[in-house]
Amino acid sequence: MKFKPPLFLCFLFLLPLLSVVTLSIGDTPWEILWRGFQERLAGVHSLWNPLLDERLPRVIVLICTGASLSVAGAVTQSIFQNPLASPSTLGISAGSNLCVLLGFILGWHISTPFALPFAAFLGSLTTLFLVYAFARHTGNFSTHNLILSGIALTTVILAIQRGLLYALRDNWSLIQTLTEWESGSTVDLSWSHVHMQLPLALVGLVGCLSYSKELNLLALGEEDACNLGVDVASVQRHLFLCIALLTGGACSTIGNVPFFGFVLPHIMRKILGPDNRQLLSYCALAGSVVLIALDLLLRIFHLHALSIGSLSAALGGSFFLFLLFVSPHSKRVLN
Amino acid sequence: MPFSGKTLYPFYALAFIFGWWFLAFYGKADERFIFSERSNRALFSNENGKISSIVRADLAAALNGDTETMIRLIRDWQVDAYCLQEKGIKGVRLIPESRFLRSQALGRDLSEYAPDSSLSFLPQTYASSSFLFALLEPEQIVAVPEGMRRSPHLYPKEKMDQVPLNIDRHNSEQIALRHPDFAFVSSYSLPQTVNTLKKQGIQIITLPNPETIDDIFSSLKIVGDCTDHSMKSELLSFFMESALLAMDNHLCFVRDRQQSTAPLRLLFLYNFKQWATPYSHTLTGQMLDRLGVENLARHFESDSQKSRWQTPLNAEQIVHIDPDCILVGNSPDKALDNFIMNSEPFQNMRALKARHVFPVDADTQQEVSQYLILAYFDLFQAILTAEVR
Repeated sequence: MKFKPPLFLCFLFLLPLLSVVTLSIGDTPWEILWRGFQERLAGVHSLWNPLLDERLPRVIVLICTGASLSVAGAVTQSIFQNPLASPSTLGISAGSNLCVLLGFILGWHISTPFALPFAAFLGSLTTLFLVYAFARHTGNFSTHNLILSGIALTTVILAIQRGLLYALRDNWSLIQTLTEWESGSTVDLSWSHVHMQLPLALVGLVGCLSYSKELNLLALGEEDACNLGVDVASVQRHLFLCIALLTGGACSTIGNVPFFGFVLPHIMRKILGPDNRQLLSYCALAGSVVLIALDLLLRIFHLHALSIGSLSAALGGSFFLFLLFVSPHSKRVLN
Repeated sequence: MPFSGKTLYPFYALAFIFGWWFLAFYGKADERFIFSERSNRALFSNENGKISSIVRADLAAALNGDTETMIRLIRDWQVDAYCLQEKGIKGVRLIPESRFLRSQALGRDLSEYAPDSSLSFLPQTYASSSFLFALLEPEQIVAVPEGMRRSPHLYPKEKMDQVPLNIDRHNSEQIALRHPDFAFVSSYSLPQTVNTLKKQGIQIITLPNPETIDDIFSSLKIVGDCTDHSMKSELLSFFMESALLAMDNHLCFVRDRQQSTAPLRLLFLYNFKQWATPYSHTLTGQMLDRLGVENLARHFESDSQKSRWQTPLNAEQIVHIDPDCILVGNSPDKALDNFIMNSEPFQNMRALKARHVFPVDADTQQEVSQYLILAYFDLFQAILTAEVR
């Protein structure tokens, strides 16, 4: 197991640092924030305070989302032993998106706040099981079948999604809501969002971390893992559940944030090696740090035209192209 | 099995999640923020019996093409303006006498005029459809944009029901079979669509994309001239001008009585998934300027973003600027609930304490046709309620 203390310390240092910077950036003068904070602590009143009720929930949601997406990606890549596997390539994100979209169209988010994460979770889980079932159905289960099933299912889901959007194109207020959600937005996050996502992220992360040893054994192949005492089917089912929780939670709260489930785990695996006992916790830390940093970039430079989803996709995609074609390791990237 | 201890993990996990959600959200859905009531008594106080009221339904009827209502209201508002000027109210304006007389004469002439009703029209945009509904018989309109049928609160349903087709690429052959004489398109219409219409022998009329209130008057004139309804379009223009002046005069009257000095600090917000405020160069911004309030959207504008339509805001920015009055624009069925979901940060704001938070129909605010008058009325009504103490 490669242990990288400087990297670990670096993340441990950056996470609180970036969180503090995020907490300190805003329009309200610091004196007002601090006075409100002290009065809240003293129980004088419970008035809304930007520091406690807007910036702090935002940091928590960013940490949860960053950790969730990168760990979900790392676990997906490990289960299927394929660096191309990720919640987005397997259609998990698309399934989740479709259910959230339905939630918005039917107005569930208004009557029941947790309807969106629940719908996203169900969408992720259903898609994952469908992809898995299709890949197995051929009788010759391989990662190629899996990826192809994922791509096919994603295409179908996207077709349904686009059909719905086309049918509702005259409802401009709904279209605007969906556009803002789809592009991945971190504006106006509140404690409701924390309550929506945090339990999903906690359960998903704990579940994935507790199965890190089994994931290492699964890397030897299903048969060898079974011989070593792993109940392969059960472990896979549980991990599917965890991936669905992590992806669904992130998707319902912030929207689409590509790159984390794909490139970030890949980079971390290149740096740390394949041992999931270490990789998963590093991925969680790295995901949180990078997502908070991206959000800070958008806020510091007032980049209103960009959303965190588009920025992360642009950076992640470019970096992946760099790895593929420019980096000295380009030939080994997909090995 | 060494790993069998984790068998029950999914059940514990789901129990934990649902337990968390139950504790976090149970009972929260019942918290309701009630929007401020707009008081009709305060709005149209008629203490001296000299100011006629402005009623939205009357405005809508006139804007839908009811000539008699147009003439009656123009006359009433002109009389009001004379009365207010006589009382020495500052800032009151009248329609110039020659134009007022022309509007009344038009009313008389229209009853005797028989326009060419054999022509048929294809309006490709909401604005041109709205103009046509006000000027022509619905039988002369071949198709309308489908979305108009979903907003019966804004467009005249009884007239729309008489139009057989929707504008849709699947209906293009059916539309062509009805041989419309003219098609009204906009500068943003798809070139392929415009080319197809040309090939079908339909005469194309491109309306400018309205950016100011005056642009709407220009578009109305073009539509009137092309449809052989120039007199009615001229009367509708007079009515729109007169309605704007009537609302301005009401505000002058109230401000004079209130001895108002500082303008109302107002923030117009849209709420979809996040908050946004329209820029001051938009039609909503221009209307707020005309209504004499301090549009706080200007605090969030930068020169580099002038080409954009609205700027996103977060709750902290809204709380920090602390307006006297907030207008929330959203769809009629979602306005209250969407606002409720995000209202927690605002509870200590000046506007909420004074109950100066008003929902405004966002569909109406997007109008670039004669229904702009209804958008102006919605803003006017909210501002007047906030200013009357």
